[in-house]
Amino acid sequence: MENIDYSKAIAFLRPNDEWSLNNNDLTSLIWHSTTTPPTKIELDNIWEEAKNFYDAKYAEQLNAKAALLDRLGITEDEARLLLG
Amino acid sequence: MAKQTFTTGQVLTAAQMTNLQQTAMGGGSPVQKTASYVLVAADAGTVIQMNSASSTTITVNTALFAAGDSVQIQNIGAGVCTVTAGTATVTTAGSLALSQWEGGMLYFTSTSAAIFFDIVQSGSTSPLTTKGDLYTRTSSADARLPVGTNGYTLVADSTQSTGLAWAAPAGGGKVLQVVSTTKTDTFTTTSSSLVDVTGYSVTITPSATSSKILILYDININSNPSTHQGWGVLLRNSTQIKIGDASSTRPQVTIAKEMVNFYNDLSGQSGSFLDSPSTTSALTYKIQVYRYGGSSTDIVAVNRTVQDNTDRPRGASTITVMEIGA
Repeated sequence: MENIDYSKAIAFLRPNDEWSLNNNDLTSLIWHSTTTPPTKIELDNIWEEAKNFYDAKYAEQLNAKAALLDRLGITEDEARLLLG
Repeated sequence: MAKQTFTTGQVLTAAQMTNLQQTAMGGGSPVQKTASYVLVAADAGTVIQMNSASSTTITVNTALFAAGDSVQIQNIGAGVCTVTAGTATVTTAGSLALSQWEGGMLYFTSTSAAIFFDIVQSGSTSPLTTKGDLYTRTSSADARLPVGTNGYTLVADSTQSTGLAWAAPAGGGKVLQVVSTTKTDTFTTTSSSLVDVTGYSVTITPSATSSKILILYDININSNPSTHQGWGVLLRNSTQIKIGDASSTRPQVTIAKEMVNFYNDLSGQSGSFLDSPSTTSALTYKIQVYRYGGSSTDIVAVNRTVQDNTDRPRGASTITVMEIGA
Protein backbone atom coordinates (compact mmCIF):
# COMPACT_ATOMS: atom_id res chain seq x y z
CA MET A 1 0.00 0.00 0.00
CA GLU A 2 1.22 3.41 -0.94
CA ASN A 3 0.85 6.32 1.45
CA ILE A 4 -1.10 9.22 -0.02
CA ASP A 5 -0.62 12.85 0.92
CA TYR A 6 -1.16 16.29 -0.56
CA SER A 7 2.17 16.26 -2.40
CA LYS A 8 1.23 13.13 -4.28
CA ALA A 9 -2.34 14.27 -4.75
CA ILE A 10 -1.19 17.54 -6.33
CA ALA A 11 1.31 15.71 -8.55
CA PHE A 12 -1.49 13.36 -9.63
CA LEU A 13 -4.06 16.12 -10.24
CA ARG A 14 -1.68 18.61 -11.84
CA PRO A 15 1.02 16.57 -13.57
CA ASN A 16 2.19 19.52 -15.66
CA ASP A 17 2.60 22.09 -12.89
CA GLU A 18 5.48 22.92 -10.59
CA TRP A 19 4.96 23.74 -6.93
CA SER A 20 6.48 23.51 -3.42
CA LEU A 21 4.81 22.43 -0.19
CA ASN A 22 6.06 22.57 3.37
CA ASN A 23 5.20 19.85 5.85
CA ASN A 24 2.28 18.63 3.72
CA ASP A 25 0.41 21.79 4.74
CA LEU A 26 -1.75 23.17 1.94
CA THR A 27 -1.58 26.68 3.42
CA SER A 28 2.15 26.68 2.66
CA LEU A 29 1.64 25.78 -1.00
CA ILE A 30 3.82 27.82 -3.36
CA TRP A 31 2.64 27.55 -6.95
CA HIS A 32 5.49 28.03 -9.39
CA SER A 33 3.38 27.58 -12.50
CA THR A 34 1.21 30.27 -14.03
CA THR A 35 -1.94 28.17 -13.67
CA THR A 36 -4.34 28.37 -10.75
CA PRO A 37 -3.41 26.06 -7.86
CA PRO A 38 -5.89 23.34 -6.93
CA THR A 39 -8.26 23.80 -4.01
CA LYS A 40 -8.44 21.47 -1.04
CA ILE A 41 -11.84 20.32 -2.24
CA GLU A 42 -10.43 19.41 -5.63
CA LEU A 43 -7.66 17.43 -3.99
CA ASP A 44 -9.99 15.71 -1.56
CA ASN A 45 -12.23 14.72 -4.46
CA ILE A 46 -9.45 12.89 -6.27
CA TRP A 47 -7.88 11.50 -3.08
CA GLU A 48 -9.08 7.90 -3.55
CA GLU A 49 -8.29 7.96 -7.25
CA ALA A 50 -4.79 9.19 -6.52
CA LYS A 51 -4.34 6.58 -3.84
CA ASN A 52 -5.39 3.83 -6.23
CA PHE A 53 -3.00 5.19 -8.83
CA TYR A 54 -0.04 5.20 -6.45
CA ASP A 55 -0.99 1.82 -5.01
CA ALA A 56 -0.96 0.37 -8.51
CA LYS A 57 2.30 2.10 -9.26
CA TYR A 58 3.83 0.81 -6.04
CA ALA A 59 2.63 -2.73 -6.79
CA GLU A 60 4.04 -2.43 -10.27
CA GLN A 61 7.39 -1.42 -8.85
CA LEU A 62 7.35 -4.32 -6.39
CA ASN A 63 6.50 -6.74 -9.17
CA ALA A 64 9.19 -5.34 -11.41
CA LYS A 65 11.69 -5.60 -8.60
CA ALA A 66 10.70 -9.18 -7.82
CA ALA A 67 10.90 -10.09 -11.49
CA LEU A 68 14.34 -8.54 -11.76
CA LEU A 69 15.60 -10.32 -8.67
CA ASP A 70 14.17 -13.57 -10.01
CA ARG A 71 15.83 -13.03 -13.36
CA LEU A 72 19.15 -12.32 -11.65
CA GLY A 73 18.73 -15.27 -9.36
CA ILE A 74 19.48 -13.32 -6.20
CA THR A 75 17.52 -12.30 -3.14
CA GLU A 76 16.71 -8.76 -2.05
CA ASP A 77 19.33 -8.94 0.72
CA GLU A 78 21.93 -10.09 -1.81
CA ALA A 79 20.99 -7.20 -4.09
CA ARG A 80 21.41 -4.78 -1.19
CA LEU A 81 24.77 -6.38 -0.45
CA LEU A 82 25.88 -5.74 -4.01
CA LEU A 83 24.94 -2.07 -3.76
CA GLY A 84 26.57 -1.64 -0.37
CA MET B 1 44.42 100.86 38.91
CA ALA B 2 41.58 102.40 37.01
CA LYS B 3 42.32 104.75 34.18
CA GLN B 4 43.22 108.18 35.55
CA THR B 5 43.11 111.70 34.16
CA PHE B 6 46.26 113.38 35.34
CA THR B 7 46.72 117.15 35.70
CA THR B 8 49.78 119.27 35.19
CA GLY B 9 52.04 119.29 38.27
CA GLN B 10 50.21 116.46 39.97
CA VAL B 11 52.44 114.48 42.36
CA LEU B 12 51.86 110.72 42.56
CA THR B 13 52.41 108.76 45.74
CA ALA B 14 54.63 105.68 45.88
CA ALA B 15 51.55 103.47 46.26
CA GLN B 16 49.97 105.06 43.19
CA MET B 17 53.17 104.55 41.20
CA THR B 18 53.37 100.90 42.28
CA ASN B 19 49.77 100.35 41.30
CA LEU B 20 50.33 102.05 37.97
CA GLN B 21 53.37 99.87 37.37
CA GLN B 22 51.41 96.69 38.15
CA THR B 23 48.65 97.74 35.83
CA ALA B 24 51.13 98.50 33.07
CA MET B 25 52.55 94.98 33.52
CA GLY B 26 49.14 93.44 33.13
CA GLY B 27 48.51 92.97 36.84
CA GLY B 28 47.06 95.17 39.51
CA SER B 29 44.56 94.67 42.28
CA PRO B 30 41.45 92.97 40.92
CA VAL B 31 37.97 94.24 41.40
CA GLN B 32 36.12 91.12 42.43
CA LYS B 33 32.57 90.44 41.35
CA THR B 34 30.32 87.65 42.57
CA ALA B 35 27.42 88.12 40.17
CA SER B 36 26.83 89.14 36.56
CA TYR B 37 28.25 92.56 35.89
CA VAL B 38 27.95 95.36 33.31
CA LEU B 39 31.24 97.14 32.65
CA VAL B 40 31.42 100.86 33.44
CA ALA B 41 33.85 103.51 32.27
CA ALA B 42 35.80 103.33 35.54
CA ASP B 43 36.73 99.73 34.75
CA ALA B 44 39.16 100.83 32.04
CA GLY B 45 42.63 99.64 32.98
CA THR B 46 41.40 97.41 35.83
CA VAL B 47 41.18 93.70 36.42
CA ILE B 48 37.62 92.42 36.80
CA GLN B 49 37.72 89.14 38.61
CA MET B 50 34.56 87.05 38.66
CA ASN B 51 34.10 84.60 41.51
CA SER B 52 30.78 82.81 41.39
CA ALA B 53 29.71 79.20 41.61
CA SER B 54 26.93 79.94 39.14
CA SER B 55 27.10 81.04 35.51
CA THR B 56 27.59 84.77 35.10
CA THR B 57 28.02 87.36 32.36
CA ILE B 58 30.14 90.46 31.92
CA THR B 59 28.36 92.78 29.54
CA VAL B 60 30.14 95.27 27.26
CA ASN B 61 28.31 98.39 26.13
CA THR B 62 29.20 101.33 23.88
CA ALA B 63 30.23 104.88 24.68
CA LEU B 64 32.07 103.93 27.87
CA PHE B 65 35.60 103.25 26.69
CA ALA B 66 37.99 104.92 24.29
CA ALA B 67 40.08 103.26 21.61
CA GLY B 68 43.14 101.78 23.31
CA ASP B 69 41.43 101.15 26.65
CA SER B 70 41.58 97.65 28.03
CA VAL B 71 39.94 95.61 30.76
CA GLN B 72 41.36 92.38 32.05
CA ILE B 73 38.79 89.72 32.87
CA GLN B 74 39.49 86.70 35.03
CA ASN B 75 37.22 83.95 36.20
CA ILE B 76 38.22 82.17 39.40
CA GLY B 77 34.75 80.85 40.23
CA ALA B 78 33.36 77.42 39.35
CA GLY B 79 30.59 78.93 37.25
CA VAL B 80 31.25 79.79 33.62
CA CYS B 81 31.63 83.52 33.06
CA THR B 82 30.64 84.70 29.59
CA VAL B 83 31.83 87.96 28.10
CA THR B 84 28.71 89.27 26.43
CA ALA B 85 28.37 91.92 23.77
CA GLY B 86 25.74 94.35 25.00
CA THR B 87 25.46 97.35 22.74
CA ALA B 88 29.13 97.09 21.79
CA THR B 89 30.55 94.48 19.51
CA VAL B 90 33.00 91.95 20.87
CA THR B 91 35.02 89.78 18.55
CA THR B 92 37.37 86.95 19.42
CA ALA B 93 39.19 84.07 17.79
CA GLY B 94 38.60 81.97 20.85
CA SER B 95 35.74 81.61 23.24
CA LEU B 96 33.89 84.24 25.19
CA ALA B 97 32.88 81.61 27.73
CA LEU B 98 35.45 81.42 30.48
CA SER B 99 35.65 78.35 32.64
CA GLN B 100 37.25 78.50 36.05
CA TRP B 101 40.83 79.82 35.96
CA GLU B 102 40.41 81.17 32.46
CA GLY B 103 40.64 84.81 31.45
CA GLY B 104 41.58 87.28 28.80
CA MET B 105 41.93 90.91 27.87
CA LEU B 106 39.17 93.07 26.45
CA TYR B 107 40.88 95.59 24.19
CA PHE B 108 38.82 98.43 22.73
CA THR B 109 39.46 99.47 19.16
CA SER B 110 36.76 102.16 19.31
CA THR B 111 34.08 103.31 21.67
CA SER B 112 31.76 100.67 20.31
CA ALA B 113 34.00 97.72 19.49
CA ALA B 114 36.35 95.51 21.43
CA ILE B 115 38.49 92.45 20.82
CA PHE B 116 38.66 89.80 23.46
CA PHE B 117 42.09 88.16 23.53
CA ASP B 118 41.46 84.78 25.08
CA ILE B 119 44.80 84.13 26.73
CA VAL B 120 44.00 80.71 28.14
CA GLN B 121 42.41 78.86 25.28
CA SER B 122 44.78 80.32 22.73
CA GLY B 123 42.15 80.90 20.14
CA SER B 124 40.77 77.35 20.06
CA THR B 125 37.68 75.71 21.42
CA SER B 126 37.25 72.14 22.52
CA PRO B 127 35.30 69.97 20.09
CA LEU B 128 34.36 67.59 22.89
CA THR B 129 30.71 67.42 23.83
CA THR B 130 29.95 64.05 25.33
CA LYS B 131 31.26 61.69 27.98
CA GLY B 132 33.96 59.51 26.54
CA ASP B 133 34.71 61.75 23.54
CA LEU B 134 38.29 61.67 22.32
CA TYR B 135 40.20 64.77 21.23
CA THR B 136 41.70 63.92 17.84
CA ARG B 137 42.72 65.69 14.71
CA THR B 138 42.02 65.53 11.02
CA SER B 139 44.59 66.62 8.48
CA SER B 140 43.63 70.24 9.08
CA ALA B 141 41.75 70.70 12.34
CA ASP B 142 41.08 69.37 15.79
CA ALA B 143 38.18 66.95 15.80
CA ARG B 144 35.95 64.96 18.10
CA LEU B 145 35.82 61.17 17.99
CA PRO B 146 32.66 60.04 19.79
CA VAL B 147 33.01 57.30 22.36
CA GLY B 148 32.76 53.83 20.82
CA THR B 149 30.48 50.90 21.52
CA ASN B 150 31.07 49.17 24.84
CA GLY B 151 33.81 46.59 24.48
CA TYR B 152 35.17 48.05 21.26
CA THR B 153 38.80 49.06 20.94
CA LEU B 154 40.47 51.98 19.21
CA VAL B 155 42.31 51.04 16.04
CA ALA B 156 44.25 53.00 13.48
CA ASP B 157 42.24 53.36 10.27
CA SER B 158 43.66 55.54 7.53
CA THR B 159 40.33 55.60 5.71
CA GLN B 160 38.82 57.67 8.53
CA SER B 161 39.23 61.46 8.62
CA THR B 162 40.85 61.26 12.05
CA GLY B 163 42.86 58.13 11.24
CA LEU B 164 41.11 56.34 14.07
CA ALA B 165 38.07 54.09 14.41
CA TRP B 166 36.33 51.99 17.01
CA ALA B 167 36.20 48.29 16.17
CA ALA B 168 35.26 45.01 17.74
CA PRO B 169 38.30 43.36 19.32
CA ALA B 170 40.10 41.18 16.85
CA GLY B 171 39.04 37.60 17.22
CA GLY B 172 42.31 36.14 16.10
CA GLY B 173 40.80 33.08 14.47
CA LYS B 174 38.36 32.49 17.28
CA VAL B 175 34.71 31.67 16.84
CA LEU B 176 32.93 34.95 17.55
CA GLN B 177 29.36 33.74 17.17
CA VAL B 178 27.41 30.68 16.09
CA VAL B 179 23.92 30.56 14.59
CA SER B 180 22.16 27.33 13.67
CA THR B 181 18.83 26.22 12.29
CA THR B 182 17.47 22.70 12.20
CA LYS B 183 14.50 21.83 10.03
CA THR B 184 12.60 18.87 11.37
CA ASP B 185 9.45 18.98 9.26
CA THR B 186 9.19 18.03 5.60
CA PHE B 187 9.34 19.82 2.29
CA THR B 188 8.37 18.71 -1.20
CA THR B 189 8.66 20.31 -4.60
CA THR B 190 8.39 19.52 -8.28
CA SER B 191 10.12 22.75 -9.31
CA SER B 192 12.70 22.42 -12.05
CA SER B 193 14.36 25.65 -10.91
CA LEU B 194 15.90 26.44 -7.54
CA VAL B 195 13.45 27.09 -4.70
CA ASP B 196 13.88 27.87 -1.00
CA VAL B 197 13.38 25.03 1.42
CA THR B 198 10.99 26.47 3.99
CA GLY B 199 12.63 26.82 7.39
CA TYR B 200 16.06 25.82 6.16
CA SER B 201 18.09 29.03 6.30
CA VAL B 202 20.15 30.87 8.86
CA THR B 203 20.93 34.58 9.27
CA ILE B 204 24.08 36.00 10.78
CA THR B 205 25.42 39.54 11.09
CA PRO B 206 29.24 39.61 11.07
CA SER B 207 30.80 41.92 13.65
CA ALA B 208 33.67 42.87 11.33
CA THR B 209 34.26 42.98 7.60
CA SER B 210 37.42 40.94 8.07
CA SER B 211 35.54 38.01 9.57
CA LYS B 212 35.00 34.77 7.70
CA ILE B 213 31.85 32.68 7.90
CA LEU B 214 32.17 28.92 8.21
CA ILE B 215 29.05 27.16 6.95
CA LEU B 216 28.29 23.58 7.97
CA TYR B 217 25.28 21.97 6.39
CA ASP B 218 23.54 18.66 6.11
CA ILE B 219 20.33 17.99 4.28
CA ASN B 220 18.23 14.87 3.89
CA ILE B 221 16.92 14.76 0.36
CA ASN B 222 15.16 12.14 -1.66
CA SER B 223 13.87 11.64 -5.15
CA ASN B 224 13.36 8.75 -7.50
CA PRO B 225 16.69 8.16 -9.23
CA SER B 226 15.02 6.11 -11.92
CA THR B 227 13.23 9.24 -13.16
CA HIS B 228 14.72 12.37 -11.61
CA GLN B 229 17.09 13.69 -8.98
CA GLY B 230 16.99 16.33 -6.27
CA TRP B 231 19.95 18.69 -6.40
CA GLY B 232 20.86 21.76 -4.38
CA VAL B 233 22.93 24.95 -4.30
CA LEU B 234 24.39 26.82 -1.32
CA LEU B 235 23.67 30.56 -1.32
CA ARG B 236 24.61 33.69 0.60
CA ASN B 237 21.54 35.88 0.21
CA SER B 238 20.94 35.50 -3.55
CA THR B 239 24.54 34.66 -4.47
CA GLN B 240 25.53 31.07 -5.20
CA ILE B 241 28.74 30.58 -3.25
CA LYS B 242 29.66 26.93 -3.66
CA ILE B 243 29.14 25.49 -7.10
CA GLY B 244 31.29 23.72 -9.62
CA ASP B 245 32.96 25.51 -12.49
CA ALA B 246 30.91 26.09 -15.61
CA SER B 247 31.43 23.41 -18.20
CA SER B 248 29.30 23.34 -21.32
CA THR B 249 25.67 22.79 -20.29
CA ARG B 250 26.48 20.79 -17.17
CA PRO B 251 24.41 21.97 -14.19
CA GLN B 252 26.49 23.80 -11.56
CA VAL B 253 25.44 22.64 -8.12
CA THR B 254 26.60 22.22 -4.54
CA ILE B 255 25.03 18.83 -3.91
CA ALA B 256 23.96 16.25 -6.48
CA LYS B 257 24.70 12.99 -4.77
CA GLU B 258 21.93 10.56 -5.47
CA MET B 259 22.32 6.91 -4.72
CA VAL B 260 20.23 4.49 -6.67
CA ASN B 261 18.11 2.73 -4.11
CA PHE B 262 15.20 0.42 -4.29
CA TYR B 263 13.96 1.29 -0.88
CA ASN B 264 13.25 5.00 -1.11
CA ASP B 265 15.68 5.84 1.66
CA LEU B 266 16.83 9.28 2.68
CA SER B 267 20.11 10.38 1.23
CA GLY B 268 21.83 12.57 3.80
CA GLN B 269 24.28 14.98 2.23
CA SER B 270 26.61 17.23 4.16
CA GLY B 271 29.42 19.66 3.51
CA SER B 272 31.09 22.88 4.52
CA PHE B 273 32.27 26.15 3.04
CA LEU B 274 34.40 29.03 4.32
CA ASP B 275 32.93 32.28 3.07
CA SER B 276 34.53 35.76 3.05
CA PRO B 277 31.56 38.11 2.76
CA SER B 278 33.47 41.33 3.71
CA THR B 279 30.44 42.99 5.28
CA THR B 280 28.82 43.75 8.60
CA SER B 281 25.33 43.53 7.14
CA ALA B 282 23.00 40.66 7.92
CA LEU B 283 23.58 37.59 5.74
CA THR B 284 21.23 34.71 5.07
CA TYR B 285 22.69 31.34 4.15
CA LYS B 286 20.55 28.56 2.73
CA ILE B 287 20.46 25.65 0.34
CA GLN B 288 17.94 25.84 -2.46
CA VAL B 289 16.84 22.64 -4.18
CA TYR B 290 15.33 21.67 -7.50
CA ARG B 291 14.24 18.71 -9.55
CA TYR B 292 16.67 17.63 -12.20
CA GLY B 293 15.18 15.42 -14.89
CA GLY B 294 11.84 13.69 -14.88
CA SER B 295 8.60 15.62 -15.19
CA SER B 296 6.33 17.74 -13.04
CA THR B 297 4.83 14.60 -11.54
CA ASP B 298 8.17 13.77 -9.96
CA ILE B 299 8.64 14.97 -6.41
CA VAL B 300 11.83 16.02 -4.65
CA ALA B 301 11.48 15.59 -0.90
CA VAL B 302 13.45 16.98 2.05
CA ASN B 303 13.42 15.20 5.41
CA ARG B 304 11.10 12.53 4.02
CA THR B 305 11.08 10.06 1.21
CA VAL B 306 9.01 10.60 -1.88
CA GLN B 307 7.11 7.43 -1.10
CA ASP B 308 6.75 8.36 2.58
CA ASN B 309 5.12 5.10 3.54
CA THR B 310 4.79 4.48 7.25
CA ASP B 311 7.90 2.34 7.29
CA ARG B 312 9.95 5.00 5.52
CA PRO B 313 12.20 7.34 7.54
CA ARG B 314 11.78 10.96 8.39
CA GLY B 315 14.93 13.04 8.87
CA ALA B 316 16.13 16.42 10.05
CA SER B 317 18.44 18.89 8.31
CA THR B 318 20.72 21.47 9.91
CA ILE B 319 22.58 24.51 8.67
CA THR B 320 25.09 26.12 11.04
CA VAL B 321 27.17 29.25 10.47
CA MET B 322 30.10 30.46 12.56
CA GLU B 323 31.75 33.86 12.43
CA ILE B 324 35.50 33.36 12.56
CA GLY B 325 37.54 36.37 13.64
CA ALA B 326 40.34 37.43 11.32
